Amino acid sequence: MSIATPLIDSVTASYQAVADSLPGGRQVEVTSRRQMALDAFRRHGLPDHRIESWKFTSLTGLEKQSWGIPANEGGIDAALLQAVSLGIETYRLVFVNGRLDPAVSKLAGLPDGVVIEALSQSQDVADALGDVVEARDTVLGSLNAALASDGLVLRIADGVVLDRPVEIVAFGAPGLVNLRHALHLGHGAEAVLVESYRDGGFAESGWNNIFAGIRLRVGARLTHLRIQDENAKSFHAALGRVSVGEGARYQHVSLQTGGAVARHELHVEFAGSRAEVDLRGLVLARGTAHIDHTLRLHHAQPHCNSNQLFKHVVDDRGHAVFQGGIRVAPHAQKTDAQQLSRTLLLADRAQIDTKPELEILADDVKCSHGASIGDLDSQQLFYMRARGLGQDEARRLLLSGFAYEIVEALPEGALRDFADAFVEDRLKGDAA
Amino acid sequence: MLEIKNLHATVDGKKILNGIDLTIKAGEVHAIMGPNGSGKSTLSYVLAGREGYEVTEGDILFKGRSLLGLEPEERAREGIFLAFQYPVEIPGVANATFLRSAVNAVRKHRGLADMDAMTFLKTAKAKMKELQMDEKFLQRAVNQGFSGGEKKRNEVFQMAMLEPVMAILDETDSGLDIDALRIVAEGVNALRSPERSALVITHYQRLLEYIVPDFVHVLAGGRIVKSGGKDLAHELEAKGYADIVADAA
Repeated sequence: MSIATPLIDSVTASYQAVADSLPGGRQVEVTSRRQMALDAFRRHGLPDHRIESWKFTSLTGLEKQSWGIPANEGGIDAALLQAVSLGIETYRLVFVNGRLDPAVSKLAGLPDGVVIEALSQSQDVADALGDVVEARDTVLGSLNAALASDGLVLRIADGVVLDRPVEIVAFGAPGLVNLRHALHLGHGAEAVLVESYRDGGFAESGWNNIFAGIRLRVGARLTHLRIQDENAKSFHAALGRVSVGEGARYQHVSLQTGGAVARHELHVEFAGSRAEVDLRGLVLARGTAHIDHTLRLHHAQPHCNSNQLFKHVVDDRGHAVFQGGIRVAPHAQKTDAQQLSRTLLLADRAQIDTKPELEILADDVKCSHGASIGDLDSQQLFYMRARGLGQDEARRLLLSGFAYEIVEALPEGALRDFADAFVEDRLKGDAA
Repeated sequence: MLEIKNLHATVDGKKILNGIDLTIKAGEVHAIMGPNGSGKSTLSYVLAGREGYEVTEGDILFKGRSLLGLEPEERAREGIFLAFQYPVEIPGVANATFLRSAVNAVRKHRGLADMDAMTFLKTAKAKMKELQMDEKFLQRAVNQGFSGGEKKRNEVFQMAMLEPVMAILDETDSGLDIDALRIVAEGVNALRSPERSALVITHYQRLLEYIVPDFVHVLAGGRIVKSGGKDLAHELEAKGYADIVADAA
């Protein structure tokens, strides 16, 4: 049985209009998966507050308009792209309105053993769509599978260390954009991924519905920087699923600055022992931005370490949400799982909902969680002012310092400098 | 340089300073000694303009102008420097970033151009060498993870960079071993000149062996109960505060 709402109807109509032109649109295996995924979405509709993991974040704003899939118009202003690019040699895929813009993408010179391609050019669309997992809380992942118009497909063979970062730059449109990324790092493979979502200069609202599936095999290492920076009317919902193999390492840094609603939900599962996961996030929520990080970390294997550090700077009437889920399976002994959420509320009407959710079923583990909420420290402010810094500059430096602990998880050099410059730029307006 | 007139101050409504009179002329070094709780640190915070330290009576004139309406940063830019008894840790902010911002805020106030990064680094490294500080402290977060002695040295380093005309040292000797004390004192002495003054607040006479004051004052109950030359410090050391305070009463 499906529900009929204007939103579901418009999404269904949009799918029917473009189905043939979507990646793999002529392969039965692909279209049947897409149809199944769409049916799943039609059965459940948008997740709402009745679902535990959606208690603090509402998507009802999406219901107020009908959503079409933007035409494949491609093309982005060179200066705009330049301004948001990493600025060093990368393998780069640029998506405009949910489609690859080949003119500004750069994939030349890939080393042996590495495949980097757009989903729209890939032979493995069915693989990237994966099996349809029907669940109410993650139904947006199904919607994405139905409508995925493009995305990154990355495969790195065993033992290959990628020589340059992989960069995805996505410019949303005033429409519904579904990018789907599939990454596979073989045994001992290493890569750096930078994923960046921008509004492309539009002031109207858009809806980015993103999915990323990441698999790290034994001993693989991935450093993953994700930037979400869109206009105040936009909606952004991302779901990531990461599988971390034995001895592998996954470093994730999420920087989110805005949108009417921006949610990044990340599920990470340890698929082998002695693996390591470090998840960090920085939220800069001002105006009426609502920004959500929802994490689900599954210690399914023994001897794994995880760390979650999420920081929130909330100003004006902004609202941040942090849900840090950690599950330690009964046999996952010697697990070390740490979690910390820290928040600066800079205005009376700024809000944070921060919620640790720990389910620990093993007995020989080290798990901790903590949360702090406050304003800037008055002693620190006085100390800085006593050295001659003006109030605004002192506040700005303190905010930088607060944010830096997130950025410094990135390897020293171009990547960290890039993230740091981005954060500094976005903090400018918050110090006053 | 600095004229403190009948200064009364409260903290959280509690009277701490009860009528301090003190005049420090250009080039002079004054020491304030006194037992715990006598108001020494309160005096230093009142001079620096800390929020919550309320002047209820009297005035503080600096270079002939009242400080009372000025924000902490305005006082700092005018040339007042407080070396904190407990320097504050600021995670995530590099010492160099912080100090360069401070130096340039002060320079701007004095109508000077910003100090560029190269000049700053060169100057900073030279001063650090004099204070026998490792250059790596420039890149570390302000005071974070510094030992007690390192923090105090960092205060004197900041002072050397900011070149204040009125330095207030609040128990800069506490937590320092004898070698560190000597180095810190040399750093302070290096700044002594006919144009600069200092107010050295200390519990012990030890520091005054190295930073020799022109005048010594004894603070008790929020008032100066006795003033004298540098010999007063020795007298205090020999007799203890109790006798001096009792004699003065």
